[in-house]
Amino acid sequence: MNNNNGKKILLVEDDLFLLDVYTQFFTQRGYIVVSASDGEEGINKLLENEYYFIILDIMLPKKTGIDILKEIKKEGSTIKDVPVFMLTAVGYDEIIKQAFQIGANGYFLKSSSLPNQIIDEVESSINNSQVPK
Amino acid sequence: MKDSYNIFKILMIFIIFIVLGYFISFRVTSFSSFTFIIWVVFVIIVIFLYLVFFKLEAGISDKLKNLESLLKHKDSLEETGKSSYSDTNSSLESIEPDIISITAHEIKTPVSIIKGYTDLLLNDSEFSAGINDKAREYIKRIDSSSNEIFSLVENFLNATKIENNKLSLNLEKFNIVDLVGDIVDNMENEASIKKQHILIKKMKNIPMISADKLKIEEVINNLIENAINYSPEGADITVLINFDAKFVEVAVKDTGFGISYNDQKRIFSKFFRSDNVNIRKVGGTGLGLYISSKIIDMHHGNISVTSNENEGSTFSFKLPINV
Repeated sequence: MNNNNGKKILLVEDDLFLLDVYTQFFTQRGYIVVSASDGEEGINKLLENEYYFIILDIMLPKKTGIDILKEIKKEGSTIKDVPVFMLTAVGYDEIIKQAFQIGANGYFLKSSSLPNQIIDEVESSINNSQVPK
Repeated sequence: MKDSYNIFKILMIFIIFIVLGYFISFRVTSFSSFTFIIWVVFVIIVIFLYLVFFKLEAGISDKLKNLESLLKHKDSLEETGKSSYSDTNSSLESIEPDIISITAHEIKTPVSIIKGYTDLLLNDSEFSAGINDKAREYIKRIDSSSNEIFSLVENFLNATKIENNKLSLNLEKFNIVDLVGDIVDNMENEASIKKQHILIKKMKNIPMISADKLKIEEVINNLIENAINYSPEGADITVLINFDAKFVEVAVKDTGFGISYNDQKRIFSKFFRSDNVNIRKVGGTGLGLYISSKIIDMHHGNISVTSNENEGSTFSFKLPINV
C-alpha cells in the first residue's frame, strides 16, 4: 500500500476543507501532497516539483482548472506527459469533453467519488496506461 | 433588399430585350421561324452575358465567402480542442450555468466534505480507535444522510438535463463487475444500518462494455439504494450480473414489499410515487427510476421490473456489449 512513498502529487482545489480531506487520504496512501488553492498558485507550482500526477478542480478562482490543464499540455511543455485528472462538482459535458480534447487523463465528480475511490481510479488508470508502452 | 433590387434589374433588362427583339423581328420583312430563332438566341446570349458578368460573379463570390467562413468555423472548432491555449476562461464563459446547476454545485461541495470526514472517522485507524459504538452508529447515519442529499441533488440535476435535452453520454470502456463491486463496497455502510446484506452473483468472464460509466454508476446506485430503502431490516439484496451474445445484464433483487401490477406499469414515469403505505414511508422524489430509464434508453438498452407484492422485486437493465 505504501509503495508510493516519496511520490509527489499536485492537488489544486479552492475549498480548504475539501483540500484537507483529499490531502489526508492521499497522505495515507503514501503520497506527498503539494497543494494550491487557486489557479494562479496552481500554475506557479507546476514546475516547482516533479509530479507523479496532478489533480485539478475546474472551477477555481483567478485561473480555471482548464487553464492550468492547457498550461501543462501546451506545445513545448516539459511536463506534458504528467497524468492530469480533473475534479468537478458539476458534470458539464461540454467542459469534460474539452478537458479530454486538451489531454486530461480522466475526471471525477466530487459528488459521486469518495477520496479513496478517486485514488484507486487514478492509480489504476496510470497503471493501465503504462502497460501498453 | 439587395436581392430584390437585383431581380428588378434582371427583369427590366429582360423586358427591354424582349421588346427590342420583338421590334427587330418586325423590321425584318416577315416574321419567319428563322428570325424568331435569331431573336431567341439574341435574348439568350444577352441574358447569359448579363449573368456571367454580374449575377454569376456575385454568386460565385458569395459561395467563396460561405466556403471561407465555413472553413474558418471548422478551424475554430478544431482550435478549441487543440491549439487555442492562450484564451483564458473561454471554456467556462461559453456555458450558461442554470440556477439548478449552480445550486447543485454549492450543495455538493460541503456535503462531499462531510462525507470525506465521516469516512476518515470511520475508516482511518488514527481516529476510529477512539470512537465508541454509539458515536460510530451516529457517524454512519450522518454518512448515509449525506449520501441521500447527494443522490437528491444529482437527481434534480439530471432531471433538468433530461427536460432540456442536455444529457449526453461520455462513452468509455470499462468492466461492469468492478463498477458493481465498488458501488456495493460503498453502500454496505448504508445497508448495515438496516442489518441488510448485499451479495453479488456473477457469471464468469463478463465482457467489457462501452458506456457512460458515471451514468451507469448512477443507475446501479439508484437500484441498490431503492432495494435498501424498500426492504425490511435484515433482508438480503442480491446483485446479479449476467451476459449473452449481445447484452450485459445487471439485476438487483430485493425481498421487500414488492410492487403491485398497476404500479409496475407506471414506475418508470416522472414523479411516480406508489400509494402503498410501506413505500410511502420512505422518502423520495419519484425521479430516480425515471432518470435511470432515460439513461438506459440513451444507451439503447432496456430496463424492466418483475415483482410480486410482499415477495420482493427485481429491477434489471440490459446494456448492449457493442454500442
